[in-house]
Amino acid sequence: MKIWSISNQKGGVGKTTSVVSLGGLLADQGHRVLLVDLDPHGSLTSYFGQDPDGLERSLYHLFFEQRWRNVDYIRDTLKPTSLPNVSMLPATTSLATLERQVSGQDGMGLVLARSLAQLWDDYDYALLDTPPILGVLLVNALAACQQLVIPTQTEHLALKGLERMVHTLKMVMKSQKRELPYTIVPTLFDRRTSASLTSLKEMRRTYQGALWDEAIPVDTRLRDASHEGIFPHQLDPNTRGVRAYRHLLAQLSGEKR
Amino acid sequence: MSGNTDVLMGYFDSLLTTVDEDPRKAIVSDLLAGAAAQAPEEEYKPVATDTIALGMRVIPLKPPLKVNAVAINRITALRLLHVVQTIPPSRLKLHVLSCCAGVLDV
Ligand SMILES: Nc1ncnc2c1ncn2[C@@H]1O[C@H](COP(=O)(O)OP(=O)(O)OP(=O)(O)O)[C@@H](O)[C@H]1O
Ligand SMILES: [Mg+2]
Repeated sequence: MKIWSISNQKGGVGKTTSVVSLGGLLADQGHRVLLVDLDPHGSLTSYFGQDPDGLERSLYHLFFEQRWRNVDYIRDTLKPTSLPNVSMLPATTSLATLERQVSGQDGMGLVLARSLAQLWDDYDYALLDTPPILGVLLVNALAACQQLVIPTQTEHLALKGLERMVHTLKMVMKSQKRELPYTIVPTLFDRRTSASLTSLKEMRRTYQGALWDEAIPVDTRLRDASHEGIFPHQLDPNTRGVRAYRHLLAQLSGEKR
Repeated sequence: MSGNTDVLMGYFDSLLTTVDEDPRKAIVSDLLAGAAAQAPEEEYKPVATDTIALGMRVIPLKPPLKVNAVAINRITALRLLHVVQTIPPSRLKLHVLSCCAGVLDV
């Protein structure tokens, strides 16, 4: 199983949209995909028609009584999506209380890694959608993944968020004594606005090696897909947004380097 | 900035530390660490053996529980019999077998 975390400590930069778009395209290539919602808001969970306030089980429950050890329990917690080869580990609102409950306990940053290890042969890819806050959930995602994707909105304020995210990543790598490759992905790009152009330039200057050399454009079809609860490529396989995500996927999966 | 980084590093280190997975194992290894260092108490002396050719040694541990002591002793003896099956005939094996027989009252 390959595990990618899609994270940024800044909100509204296109994390959930990237998880859904990339996950859908991987499934379209025939891969078995698991999407994991680590956000107490449950945007990904709601995307596929589940209610984060109403579900009986979610990622939350894996943090207690060593339930991450029980593969049947984990499998029973998964929910379907609009494609048969994509499942989702949903979030519930209760995840918001996790920080208070477990963050003092050693090893609580490794629960997701261990849960995914139980599903190792069930899926080819796991994509992790994280909340825009530094906390036990984001640490779980960073500890579990082999590659980090950092969507960054092309606007000035977003650059600060990016800086914080990279700083967090470096500390987690130090704590885990390993290197974690990361790719910065400019999102919500609108070439008609000067804010988009100047912030992209600034990103190029600061993060050269780690920056994807294209950008995800603003595309309302991506929003339409989320209203329909289907993967963007199911709505329109050739819309600009989907085409851009297809290029990004080629880069991330090493087809294009 | 660096004070802040220290606080965060402590947070990450704690969350990402690997803890002993089986709490029972942790109890046993704590008991062992204590017991191996000192001479056995008088009542357990007959059971203790020194390290012999097999590289094994019997170290009596005081079980942490007192409730259901008889049942626990019997279960432990049965488990021990199971383990002792796997070692070659020796003084140690005989010794363990006779201790188990005492507990199981056969
Ligand atoms: N390329 C895009 N074009 C148009 N709209 C987009 C694009 N990417 C994301 N959006 C829209 O922007 C909003 C925020 O996107 P999204 O939910 O993916 O961000 P997020 O980083 O997951 O947010 P949060 O931090 O709140 O979880 C959503 O309404 C989404 O539909
Ligand atoms: Mg989101």
